[in-house]
Amino acid sequence: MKANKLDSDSDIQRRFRWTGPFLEGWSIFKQSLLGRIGLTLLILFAVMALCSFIPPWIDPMYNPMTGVDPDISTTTGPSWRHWLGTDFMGRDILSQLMAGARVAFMVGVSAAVMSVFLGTSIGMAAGYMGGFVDTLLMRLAEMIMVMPTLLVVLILSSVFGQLNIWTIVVIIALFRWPGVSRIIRGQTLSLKQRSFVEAAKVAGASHVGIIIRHILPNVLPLAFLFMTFRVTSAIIIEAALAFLGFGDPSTVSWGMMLQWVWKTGHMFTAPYWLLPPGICISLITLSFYMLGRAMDEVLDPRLRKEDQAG
Amino acid sequence: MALLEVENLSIGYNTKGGYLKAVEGVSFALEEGQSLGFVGESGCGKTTIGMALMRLLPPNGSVSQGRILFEGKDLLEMSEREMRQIRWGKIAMIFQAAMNALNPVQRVVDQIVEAILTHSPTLGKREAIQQVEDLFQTVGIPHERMRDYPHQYSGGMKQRAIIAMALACRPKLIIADEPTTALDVIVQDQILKETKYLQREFNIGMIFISHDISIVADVCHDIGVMYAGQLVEYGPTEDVFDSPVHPYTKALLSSYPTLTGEKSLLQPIPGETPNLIYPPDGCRFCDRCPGGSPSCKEAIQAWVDVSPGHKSLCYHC
Amino acid sequence: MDNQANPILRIEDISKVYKTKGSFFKGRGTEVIALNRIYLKIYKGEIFGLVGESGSGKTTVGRLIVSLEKSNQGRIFLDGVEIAELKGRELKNFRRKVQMIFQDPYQSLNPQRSVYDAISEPLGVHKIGNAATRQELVEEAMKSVGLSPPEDFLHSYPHRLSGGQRQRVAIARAMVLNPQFVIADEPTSMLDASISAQIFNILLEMREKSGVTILFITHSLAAARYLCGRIAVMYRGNLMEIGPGEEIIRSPRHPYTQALIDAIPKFGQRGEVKRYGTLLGAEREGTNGLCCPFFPRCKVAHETRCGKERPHLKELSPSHSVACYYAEEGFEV
Ligand SMILES: Nc1ncnc2c1ncn2[C@@H]1O[C@H](COP(=O)(O)OP(=O)(O)OP(=O)(O)O)[C@@H](O)[C@H]1O
Ligand SMILES: Nc1ncnc2c1ncn2[C@@H]1O[C@H](COP(=O)(O)OP(=O)(O)OP(=O)(O)O)[C@@H](O)[C@H]1O
Ligand SMILES: [Mg+2]
Ligand SMILES: [Mg+2]
Repeated sequence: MKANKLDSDSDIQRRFRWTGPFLEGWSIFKQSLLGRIGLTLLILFAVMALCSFIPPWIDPMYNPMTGVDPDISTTTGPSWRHWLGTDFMGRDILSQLMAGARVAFMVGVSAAVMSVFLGTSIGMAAGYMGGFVDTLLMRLAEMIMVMPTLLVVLILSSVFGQLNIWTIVVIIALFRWPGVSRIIRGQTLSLKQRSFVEAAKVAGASHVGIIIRHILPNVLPLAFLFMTFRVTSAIIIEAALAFLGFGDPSTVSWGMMLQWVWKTGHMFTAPYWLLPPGICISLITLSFYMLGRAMDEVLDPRLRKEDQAG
Repeated sequence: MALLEVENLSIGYNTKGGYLKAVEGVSFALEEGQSLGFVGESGCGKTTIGMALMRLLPPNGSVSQGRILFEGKDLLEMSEREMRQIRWGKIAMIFQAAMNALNPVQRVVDQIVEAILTHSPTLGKREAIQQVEDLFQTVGIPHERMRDYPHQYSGGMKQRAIIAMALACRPKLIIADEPTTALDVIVQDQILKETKYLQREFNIGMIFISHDISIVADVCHDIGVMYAGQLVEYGPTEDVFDSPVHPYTKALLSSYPTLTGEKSLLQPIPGETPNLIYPPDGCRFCDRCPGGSPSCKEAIQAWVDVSPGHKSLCYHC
Repeated sequence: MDNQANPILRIEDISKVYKTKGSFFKGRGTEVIALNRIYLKIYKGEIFGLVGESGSGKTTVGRLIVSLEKSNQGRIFLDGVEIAELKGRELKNFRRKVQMIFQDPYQSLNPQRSVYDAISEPLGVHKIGNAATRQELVEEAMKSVGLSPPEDFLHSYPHRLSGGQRQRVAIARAMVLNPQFVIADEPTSMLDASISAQIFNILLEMREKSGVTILFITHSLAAARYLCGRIAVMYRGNLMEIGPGEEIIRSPRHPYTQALIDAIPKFGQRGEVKRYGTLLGAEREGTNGLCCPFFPRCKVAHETRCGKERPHLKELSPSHSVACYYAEEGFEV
């Protein structure tokens, strides 16, 4: 039985050279309760975002932005026609919620990808080149890091008027890379000292080759981990902006929904309207956070639980 | 009565792949003031035995079988409170890579004084400091360096401070796990000499763990050769090294370059150590043994007495 | 003997000083003299041993030779060409000829890259062969270090390998380009005796098969004796003694070498070993920078001579040199 197991093991390895480490990571990930909960929630949200085009297709009155129920002109509670009720104009809350999921994913993931991409490249460059470049980039990072993102976006939007959702995404990315780059730089510095990098140098590899083949694969897992945490913060920033009235008026985000509740004075009278976006914001950030924690466990063997005795 | 008697001790770890039998059926005895060495390749279970004697196994490790009699009492049956009295008070351990165990932000002398005071609370602080001063003299650290911080010490001095700490409570038994592995030969030589001297001077029993045969041969009266979790040969140092019986001991000796004697080709042991989650039946060395035969795998392993006190776990002996 | 005339590697008057950065509290940094005016010649096809305790500068010699580090003074010639002057294509060519095996097999392989990736990397860098011939070369290199059958290991990742297997992968990576000169920096200090013996024998076999010259760096005189024809003993950045291995171990001339031999635990012949006893219990006080580097710890040293001036390497015989006044003058220490 034992021989059998080993055999199939190396077989899998041979056939899926590239997926080997991922399969292994997955088997650790699976054991983490946090990871499983986070992933389940995320899949639910993803399904929600994907299905967001269905309601308007069933009936134009379910269009989250422009669809108004002809019979209703004020906010109403849940009913058969509107499972979660309608807002102050008679728009369907459920379809708004679903459209909000799509915006949250769009904003969160794209801002996270951009900021982590920036942070990783800058961190690797600083750590690998060292010296003057390092000092320059890290001072820049520190300067940006002490600026509060939310405040800067507020100032920008009061100067330039309403910001488009993609501008907001880019601004979030531009302000959130320094944290990533500092960690990646530290990792790069320690990798640079490792003898496999020196072995590559002795073999004659170029700097670009060393960065691509030896540094990048070793910082990538860390960058992915950061991505999940960055998604969380980007979603929160976008929601906060929208709630404060600086969001993109042509999109429906959960923050925007909260703002409508507040602006129309239904904060304490329409829980069916207030709670869904609030809960969704909390849950989606929580689920990305849980995913990050579980990935942390995959990446850091010290956190791995050995099966306890007894 | 022997100071320490270990009977049929088996220890294992729960791991992802299954239950890893790190030590199986090990028995030995140590008289007061004697020293016993364990040698063997990495992963053969030396540290595991030491940790079990201190009852400091990691949470996934457990003793599955056997008894550890220290001064006639079974350590495995003691409560954690009783055990705390014995740890450091009567049995001290110098851990593998102990040099890094000193607290970097506390003066060396304070760390040792603290260790003394926790075990003899009746002592005054001044007396404790006096004791530390004596200890440093015995291990050869100049006493003007007492008030230094650990990072101001060289590796050898740190190791000496650790030895002083182990001696601080006048233990009956010291377990030294590779105490000199990270040190240079000259420093190692000095520390081994001191260890030998202190052990005889204070009549301390010692268990000395190392993968380096020549060190163990230098320090210990008795020796146990371990392979894949089992004790395979056990006896007085001279007997084991001058006339090894077990094929693994022979192989180990001939894979070791020496300074003297004929320069002959080293004979590395072919193959790899067996998997301890699914250990092979019968003799565990069989697959790598030059004299191994299929019958070794079937025969029940039993100790063979070679000469008084010298025994070997080989079916062919 | 004609290769005695033209060494493959010549080190002339090399010094290396490391400057440690000062911090805000410690003020200015300090200087560590890692190497102090070293001369060495290594001949084609030999295994040359560099022995010394931790911090004596052995690794620094290796890193200077593969030009991972620049020296502060002096020159290094490989095959008569000075390596500090190499640039561009010539440097790349030089990289093909000289390889290094690192001390810690747990650090010298990239955990994210498979065994095949590791061993084939130098082939890719130097654009040797196509995919098929590369695989062949890699498998051949793996067989020669005893990783057979190669298919079992080709696609495994380092964390699946034992220390000995990792070190073999590292050796295969160093040998795959068929280099002329290999530096092995304590390749077995992290490994068990029986696995070390395998590695030693692999190195011997390599030399036999391809005639590669090896600089073997170690802290163990016994290992150096087993592998090396000639041995150099270093102490705190200085060369103390160079000579045929067997001769240095049977009749060491420098008091430091003697202390080193004293300190090695010997078993099997307890009665027969004579101790030289050249080491002082505690360091001598009040020494200046000009003295013999070993003076502070040397029992036989002469205050007026060894304490005032540093002895230079002098030939005792054509093959054996010592940096000690006592040895030079034929004193029996
Ligand atoms: N905490 C642990 N969990 C699981 N397995 C362990 C643990 N500690 C040790 N082992 C396994 O138990 C076996 C014995 O380990 P041990 O540390 O006792 O070896 P050792 O002889 O001290 O080796 P070394 O010379 O490397 O220190 C090894 O196979 C090791 O992998
Ligand atoms: N990058 C560095 N910066 C500062 N000092 C260094 C650096 N590298 C080495 N040194 C110093 O140079 C001296 C020689 O170091 P080296 O690594 O060559 O010694 P070694 O003989 O290889 O020792 P070991 O046996 O411990 O590997 C030591 O004192 C060391 O502290
Ligand atoms: Mg151990
Ligand atoms: Mg070194």
